[in-house]
Amino acid sequence: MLAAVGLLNGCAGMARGTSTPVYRAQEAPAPERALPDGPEALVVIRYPALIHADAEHSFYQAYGNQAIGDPVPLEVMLRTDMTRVAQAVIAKSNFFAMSLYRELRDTLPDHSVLLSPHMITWDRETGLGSRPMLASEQIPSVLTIDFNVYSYPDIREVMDAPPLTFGDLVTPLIVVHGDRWLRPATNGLVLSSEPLVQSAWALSRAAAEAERTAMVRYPPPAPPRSLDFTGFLQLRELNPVGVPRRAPGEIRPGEAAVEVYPLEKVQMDPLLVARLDETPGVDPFADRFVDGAANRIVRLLHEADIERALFLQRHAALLRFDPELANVYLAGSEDESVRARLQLAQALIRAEKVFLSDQSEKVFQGTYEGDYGQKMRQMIAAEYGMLEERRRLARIQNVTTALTIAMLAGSVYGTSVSGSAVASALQSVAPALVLGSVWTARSSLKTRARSANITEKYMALMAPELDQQIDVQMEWMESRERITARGFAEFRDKTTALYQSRVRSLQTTADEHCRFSHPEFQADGRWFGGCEDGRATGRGYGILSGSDGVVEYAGEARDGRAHGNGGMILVRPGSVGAVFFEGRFREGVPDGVVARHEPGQRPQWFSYAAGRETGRASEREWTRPLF
Amino acid sequence: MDTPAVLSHATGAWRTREPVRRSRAFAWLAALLLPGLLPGLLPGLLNADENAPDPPSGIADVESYRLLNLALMVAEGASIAWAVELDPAGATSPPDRGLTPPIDVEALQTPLNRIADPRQTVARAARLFRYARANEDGIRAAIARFAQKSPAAVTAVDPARLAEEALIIRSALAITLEDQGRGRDDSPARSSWRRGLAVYQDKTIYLRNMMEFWEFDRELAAITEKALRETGTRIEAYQRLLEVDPRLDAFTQHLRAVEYVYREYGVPEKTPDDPSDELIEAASQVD
Repeated sequence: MLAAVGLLNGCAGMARGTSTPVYRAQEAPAPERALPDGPEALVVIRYPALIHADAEHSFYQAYGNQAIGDPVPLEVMLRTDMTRVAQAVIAKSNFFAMSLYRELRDTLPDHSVLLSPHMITWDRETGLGSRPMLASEQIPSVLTIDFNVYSYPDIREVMDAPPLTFGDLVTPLIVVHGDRWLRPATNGLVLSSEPLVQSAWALSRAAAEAERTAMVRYPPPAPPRSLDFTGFLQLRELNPVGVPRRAPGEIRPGEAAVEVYPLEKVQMDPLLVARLDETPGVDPFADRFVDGAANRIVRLLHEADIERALFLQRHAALLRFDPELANVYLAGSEDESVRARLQLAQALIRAEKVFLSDQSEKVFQGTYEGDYGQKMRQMIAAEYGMLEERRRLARIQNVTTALTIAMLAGSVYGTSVSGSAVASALQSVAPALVLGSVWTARSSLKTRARSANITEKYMALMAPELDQQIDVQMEWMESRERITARGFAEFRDKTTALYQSRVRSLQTTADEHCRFSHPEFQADGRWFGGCEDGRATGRGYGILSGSDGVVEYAGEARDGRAHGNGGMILVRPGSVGAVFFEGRFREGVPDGVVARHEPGQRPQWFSYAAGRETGRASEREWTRPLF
Repeated sequence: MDTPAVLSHATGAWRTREPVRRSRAFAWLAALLLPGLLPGLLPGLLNADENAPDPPSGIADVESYRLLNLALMVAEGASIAWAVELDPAGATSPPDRGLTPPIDVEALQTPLNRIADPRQTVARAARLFRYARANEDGIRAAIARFAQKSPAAVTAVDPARLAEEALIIRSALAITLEDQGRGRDDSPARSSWRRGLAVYQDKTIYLRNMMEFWEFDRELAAITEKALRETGTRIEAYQRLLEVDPRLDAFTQHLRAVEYVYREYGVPEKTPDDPSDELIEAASQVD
């Protein structure tokens, strides 16, 4: 009722957003040089698509508890309209994520952008989380974008300041992350919406730790990362840390900081939104936000050391179907038998990528261009009509009418406003105004209802198509047909069988139990790669973890220690982020010209002698290691 | 998956410790096979030799075209210096010229020849190597032109079959040369001879692996295309599913309640397609 009180006091908000968001397409166009068209993906877009029945209660509760903005009053938490807001956020995330997908798909090489819709889940032990419904995240990818839209849970605040996704207003939340080796100092976290920074940081750190642990306890794979949005909802009692930040849109290549995207209520072009249901080709969200955001993503791809970002993911992908080759891959063997087998493996991963890219495209078509997309457009256009009416009413200070509409709008989301309360409100306004306003709202409500049903239908019926894990039985075409989306699993079975029938034996092997050490760490670690007398020698990847911290190294080694060209991640207990050294090493420590990446700073080049810094150096003197 | 495998993988190859070696190897295979055998797919390569000097004459027929490709495949990895080492006597005369390769496929593939007269086999090989190296640019240009002029004719040549033929010859030659080199001294001359053989054997294995890869990629593409077609059917099913009437839920009940309130205060007449008539009864039960 806060909004209503505000209206009665004559200070009704106008529900406005920004028409000049931080990321604008016309600024800082991405470099024109082509990005690699490798067997991996460049971008995977993750978004909340469905809520598992078991997770509904927890999700709605967390949605209210972790509201972005002011705390949500208890009475709001108890109302059904809050759950409708949460559902609408999921439905609209599906829709608006497609806009981002389309823009990136059209910009980047073929098949290099994959969709990864997630189902929000709940587990007694781990709480709220999510799991991917397609296998897109099993394909190595340079960047992963978590995307969703957001609305403040209390619908009565629709005309005021809180973040909102309604009508011509969209509040996007994004997190961009990658493998920890993409940006070691921030555990791979690249960009985050302001409200999610702390949880995204914690999730990236947890993911890096889990993946390191998995390498130490080789070969169990690390658990997949849930959506950052569900992580945000789940991680309530988070102790804030001093996350290294940088301003959005700044072109500062290599800076080891998280780009913080402010919470923006983006206002789309009203003329385009008003005609949205009549002109399906028009995308007002792309015009106002997505073009610029996609441009920023492309820039981030250009900034990335793609080989460094992918080498461990490749290893993980190989591990799935050829563990022997996975180990040899880290050793960087030059043997022809390795090259030939890697070529087959690459082809396999590329084929999976193509298959998943095709699935992504069909999800896009179904969600954005199909019936669902059309209904969403109708809903957004109707919402806009309603919002405009409220704005008009607020403008002419017709407080009572605005109150009525506010209450009706509350009813859209199933608020517990009683019939008598509405009747009482209606009695006090001029009949002509009431009719006009009510019918505007009514029209919106009907559209909204249809759209909500579509949302529900989507949720109920899309699931079996996408989710190869769930086997849902449903009515279809007058018969009971078992429809499962096990297509990818079948495909993988066939391609893996083909691969296994064609591979030749390797002429070289890599020891999984080779010793890796660091002079400042007491414990010995594990090395995957060239090995002599049980100690790291040659190319490979090493990890050691102890009370002194964690060392990860990829590059050349001798006598069990980093020796030659390589990259080393050093994580000290209690530190925020990690320090990353890239360049020459000798007996485990930097020796020669080395690039040092520290949290919050751009890379700096130093000369080292036996681990001690002896002065500044220039990038020209430096040799970039191969990953 | 309609791009030729070699092309798609050449552009997206994972980094190796010898990027130069790999890229050259890909270039070798692509230049050797694709211009002739996959016409129209590599316009850049097909036109690459436009400015090259014209070969003495054009390729007469598809069999000559096949033999020239085979000659290049068999000679790949063999340098002129190594060819001279293999047959110093033969090297006193200049290498063959023209577009008729000195290649006797049957003689090179017959095991008895290797056993009965290995010197002759080696001499034949050395002559072929010298011919291929000395005329390489002209041969490639002629192959490209023939493929451009007679695209239908070159489709009759199966690249996999040709590669198999080349592999048999290369393997036979390598065995003969290994036998010839057995028990020889370790002089610098012999070391050079052995290094040449090792390079030749490496190329043979590489060619074999590439041919196996092509076959693998072809089958993988077929599986992928079939899987994509099946997914398409499933997506269509999903579209049909969306057309099923949605069931009503609690949300709709609230809408009914609001509609009921409207009606109490004189809502305009209903239109035939307005669904709210059916909702009123239920709405009256909703507070």
